[in-house]
Amino acid sequence: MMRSVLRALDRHFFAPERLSDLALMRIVCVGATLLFFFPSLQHQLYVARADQSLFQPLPALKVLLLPLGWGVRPSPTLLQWVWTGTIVAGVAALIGLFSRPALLLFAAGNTLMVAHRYSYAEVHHPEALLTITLWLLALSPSAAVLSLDALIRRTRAAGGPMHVEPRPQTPSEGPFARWPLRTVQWLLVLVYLSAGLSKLAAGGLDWFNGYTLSYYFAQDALRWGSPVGLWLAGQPEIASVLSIGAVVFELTFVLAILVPRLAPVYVLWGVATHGLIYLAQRAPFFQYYALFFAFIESVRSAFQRRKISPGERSPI
Amino acid sequence: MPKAFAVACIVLVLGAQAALIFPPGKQPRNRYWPFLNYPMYSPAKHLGDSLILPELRAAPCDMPDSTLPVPATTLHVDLGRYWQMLNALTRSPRREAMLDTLSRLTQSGMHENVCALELWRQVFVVEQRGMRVEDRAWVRYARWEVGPDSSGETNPSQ
Repeated sequence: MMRSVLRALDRHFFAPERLSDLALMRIVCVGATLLFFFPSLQHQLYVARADQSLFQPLPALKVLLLPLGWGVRPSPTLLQWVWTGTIVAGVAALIGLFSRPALLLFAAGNTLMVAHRYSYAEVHHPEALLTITLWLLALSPSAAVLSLDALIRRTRAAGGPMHVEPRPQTPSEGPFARWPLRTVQWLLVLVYLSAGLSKLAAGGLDWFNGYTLSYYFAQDALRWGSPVGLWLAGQPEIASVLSIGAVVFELTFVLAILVPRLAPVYVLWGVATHGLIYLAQRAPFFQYYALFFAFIESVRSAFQRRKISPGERSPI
Repeated sequence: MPKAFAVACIVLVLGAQAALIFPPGKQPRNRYWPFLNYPMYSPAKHLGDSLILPELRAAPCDMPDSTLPVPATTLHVDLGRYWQMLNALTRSPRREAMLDTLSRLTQSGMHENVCALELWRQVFVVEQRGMRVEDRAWVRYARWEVGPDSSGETNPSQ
């Protein structure tokens, strides 16, 4: 019994997967971080000027700055250097040049800056999973293909700069291309499960009364400015339906893994949910759009199944 | 060896994330960012519950009869932290320390002597038709005399 469970887990995390899927995840996550989610230097310097009494360093920041001392506060000069170095490492990681060190430096620099931002007693959630994902990409063969490193390797293997070894007809697969994607999928499941269970534990069935979501729509719409949120705040019936939809999504997201043909449904549901949350509450969880690429294999398989016409299907 | 390393990464990452989300509840566990629980918006709200928007205002010593808004940017804090600090002003055990902090940050952020801080609030109530968010009047909730020579004593007038 135990052996069959372990075998199933082994297949789940280490069955051969296209290396290009993992490489696409690298390009999407690093590219999106560089373009949209990278902490602004201006904001880093802004919080760096906050009163010393407000500085409460997170353990992640303390560990990354350990060479300078435990709990040390980064100076504006250091932040400028880290910010610049992280951008350079990010560009190298994106194109896949010196991939491993570039990805490690990019993950470390990004973690340091976001952790610094959240070391003033206010922590937000959108960057957390993407931060962990960048580390997973750095520790896996995410630049084995679709990278300059791979191109250089093929050129050298072909014997010179004018010759490039042709790419294989079928996509290359590797046993270590799946585990980072699976880990991201399960992280998403755990995060949504946390959100759903917290609502049931703290709010119970009253959470679906419509007034709860109306209240939160109003709170965030007033705080951040959202006409959609202000309108929804006055529609408790709609809020009630949306609250049921949100919790069902959060508690059943695991089906995107357990029933792979449902993955496209959950990915689209997730995109719509986070889009509506942004419109109504201005909570920007767009990092999750990049993380949904972890389901690329399931989504591709689902669409390939749909492409098979009924006449081509097996009679059983 | 690479597989053992990958297994260690999977166990560490998923284990750390799972450990933080159980038991579920409304208390945030933020200490171990980027591993977090996600209890945002989890308490239920009911008819009659109120939503309070706080705002800090300061009376400069050279214009004691008028007040100026003190937004989060003046204090060099994010908006969420600003709200936390202002909410602490309404709770007795933390009021003194927070008033001291806010007084100091306001003086340095506004670059002038401040002789009083005021907490103003807008209150919205959950009604049958949800939250009505038309313009509500700002109401002064409390005033504290502070200043460069203040001993930290407060004089709330509610």
